[in-house]
Formats: sequence, structure tokens, C-alpha cells
Amino acid sequence: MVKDTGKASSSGYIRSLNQPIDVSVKIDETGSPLVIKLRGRWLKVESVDDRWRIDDEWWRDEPVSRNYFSCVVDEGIKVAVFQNLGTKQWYRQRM
Amino acid sequence: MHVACVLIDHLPFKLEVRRDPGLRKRRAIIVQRHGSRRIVLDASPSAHSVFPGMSLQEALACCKDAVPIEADSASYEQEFSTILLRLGDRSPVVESAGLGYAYVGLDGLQDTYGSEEKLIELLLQAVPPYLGTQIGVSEGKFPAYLAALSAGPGRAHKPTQRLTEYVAPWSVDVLPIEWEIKTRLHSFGLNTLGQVAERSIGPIQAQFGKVGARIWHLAQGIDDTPLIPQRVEEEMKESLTFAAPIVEVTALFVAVDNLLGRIFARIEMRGRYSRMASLEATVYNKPTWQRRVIFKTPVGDRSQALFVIKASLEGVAMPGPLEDISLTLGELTGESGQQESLFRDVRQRQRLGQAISQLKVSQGRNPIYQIREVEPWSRIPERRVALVTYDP
Repeated sequence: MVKDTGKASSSGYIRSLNQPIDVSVKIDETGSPLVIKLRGRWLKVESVDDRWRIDDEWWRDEPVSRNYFSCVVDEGIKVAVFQNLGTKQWYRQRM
Repeated sequence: MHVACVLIDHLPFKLEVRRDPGLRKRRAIIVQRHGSRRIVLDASPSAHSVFPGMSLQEALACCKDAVPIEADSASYEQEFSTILLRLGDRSPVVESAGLGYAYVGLDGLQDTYGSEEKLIELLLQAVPPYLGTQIGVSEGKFPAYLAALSAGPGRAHKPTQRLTEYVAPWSVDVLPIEWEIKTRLHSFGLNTLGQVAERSIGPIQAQFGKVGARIWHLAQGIDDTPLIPQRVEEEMKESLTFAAPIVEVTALFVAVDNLLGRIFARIEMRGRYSRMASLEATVYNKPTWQRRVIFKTPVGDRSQALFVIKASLEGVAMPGPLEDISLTLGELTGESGQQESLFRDVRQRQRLGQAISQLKVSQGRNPIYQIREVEPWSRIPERRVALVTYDP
């Protein structure tokens, strides 16, 4: 008879990649990012190249509703940030 | 076929005496382990009743005051192969007939060296004087061997009379045949080769079969067995001596890495691959330690070779404090010689599967992950790809 090892059964390891990361953002009156805090430094947004909205998974308890901004900050760094329109929280994410 | 027999009688004993000159005054028996048995490899010339192949118990019963010494076969073989290489510099045809015995083909070399005497002189010089080599020159291997037995240490002998007459007085015990057949020859009253030669070939052959015909021909001084030249194998060897004997396997790996670096840095190793590595180390107060590693796929670089050697030495107990280490890469080839598979994907997957199984055992979990597309079309970036454990 096989002994019970007491270990929880597992079908392996699955983790979604490219999870959003919390970020601090200051916005202007239109809701566009003005400055973004990256690695402890506030960086000025030089330009916003693109913006788009995602509304999905409306059947879930927490539907996805985001406003994305593709920005160029100091030193020409490209950063994509979005605001969760439900929680008003800002996030950074690779595109 | 003009042949020289180079005979180094009691080679293992002579090498042991060189290591410990005190043995010269004592009687020693050199024994080799064969599983649980200890068999005599060689003995002091003064231990007349001890023969190679005897068990140690028998030998000690015959020679009670003898000191048993554990054979260092690796060092004897190494010493003898160096001698064979030197003989090979003098003649292209050199056959090793066992530890301390070699036959050298002399045909067509007189013009190169001027005279046969000059060539024999060079053959004598190929063996260190302390080994007291005996050289016999004759037509055929067996008469040359008998001539070598007649020669004194450091001397050569060439029979002047007809070969039938020369071999006639020798005992049948010198024949290269099994001991039981020699005993039977004695039981028939055939004690010397001359007595065998006097008979016709028929009865001898009827009694002993194929061996009988060979015995009869040898008793006539006829040995037409060809010389089988030793295969010269190209090898790359590097060695180093430790400042203080090492006992840790990690230190051994560092030394092996260093030696591999030296070998692969050689110009001759460029674009070459090796199929075999041999490690040899002198162990303090113990026989030479030897380890052979076969590469399933020929290796052509240092890190690859080190990886395989490390894997093969994992879990191997160190034989004792190592004083030095030498590494030989052999079976060299110009190509990696990797066997291709019709179902390459299947084979790669199998190999990967084996590697992952090993990692699971050593780490307790599968540490290999794969990035898999889950919903590549999703507008939500974190839904597109996921990290999953890789199970081929």
C-alpha cells in the first residue's frame, strides 16, 4: 500500500507572466500622465505616443476596465502605464 | 622473417627494486588482485619455485620468507609502453607480446642503419640499462625468443648454427603453450624440443591437434606467425604534481580542469575531438590510481569534457592522498561523430526528459520552466503567456 506523504497534490506550476506592477503617476486635468515614479525617481513624461481603453471580462466580479498610455519619459525611455478604472490605481506593464 | 626479441625478464620486480632498492636483498612476490583472489604477477629471480599465475598462498608456501608486494600494474604498463614507443622509433614493426616481451621486425632496416649490429645496439639503448634487457635475433619469433633467453642482461645473442640444432637442447617448457600440454609432453617422454623434432608431425598432431602441429614446427625452429605491429594511437597527455598531496575531490576537479585547459590549448587539438579520457594519479603509499572515462559523444572543448569527467567521478571515493595527476585524452578524431537520428525531435526530447528526471531527483522538484502562449490573442497582456513547468 502506498503511504500518504501528506503532501498537497499539484498538477505542476503555472504562473502568468507580465503581471502589472504598481506605479505612482501624477496626471493632468485630462487624465494623461505628467510624471511617473520609476525606481524611486520622478520622471517627466515627454510625450504620450498612444492611448487606448480595454473593457473585458465583464462577466467576472472584477471586470477589466483599463486606460492605457504609451509614454516616452526622460532619457527617451518608453513606458506603458494604465489606470484601473474600477480602483483608479495606476500600473506599469510591458507591451 | 628477421626478428629481434626484446626480453625484459622480471620487469615488475626490477621496477619495484628501482622504487625500493632494499628489495634487492630480500625475496619479494608481486601480487595482483583478481576479484577476491591474489595472483602472483612476478617474483624475485631468487624465488625459483614461484611462478606467475600461482595464488599468493601457494607462493608463500613455497617461499616462506618472501615479502608480498601489491602490483602497480598501471606504472608497469606505462613504463613498458614507453619502451615500446622507443623501439617504434627504431623499427616500424613492433609487437608487444606481454609485459616485458616485444618483437621487433628487422627486415629491410639494415640499409637504413648501415649494419645489423648498429641496429641491435640502438635497440639495446632503447631500454634503460637498469632493466637489463636481453635481445635475441633470429628468423621467426620463437627462435628469437630462445636467443633472447640465451643472451646475458644488456646483451644480444644471435644463434650461428642451424635453427633445428639450436632449438633441439631446449626444454619443452619454453614452448608458448598451455601448462597441461607441457606436462603431457613430459609424460610421453618428450622433454626437449629435439625429442619432439625427431618424431614425425603426424603422431604429434594426432595427439594434440592443431597445437600439436605448431609444437612440431616450433621444435624444428620454424615460426612463421606474422608480426602484428602495435597500433600507434595518438594521445594528448598533460600532468601536474601537487605541492602537497590532495584528498579532496574538489581539488582534483580543479587540477583536471587545468590539465584540460592545457590540452585543449595545444595547436594539435584544434578541431579535434576525443572519445576517451584517462586519469592516472600517484597515491601516497598505494598503487597508482587509474580511471578511464568514455565520452558517449566525442568532446571537443574543455567545459564539455570537464562536465563528463566530473559526472563520472561523482560519488567515487578518493583512493588516498594524491601526489600528482596526469590526464590523457585519447581516441582522437577529427569529427564530433555524433550519431544522427531519423527521429531527431524524439531523441532530443528523450535526452531532455532524462536530464529533467535527474534534476527532479537531485532538487526534489522540476526546476525547468517553459514560457507557453496561453491566449496570444488576448487584449489583456498578462493573459497572453504563462510560465509552466516543462515536462517533455
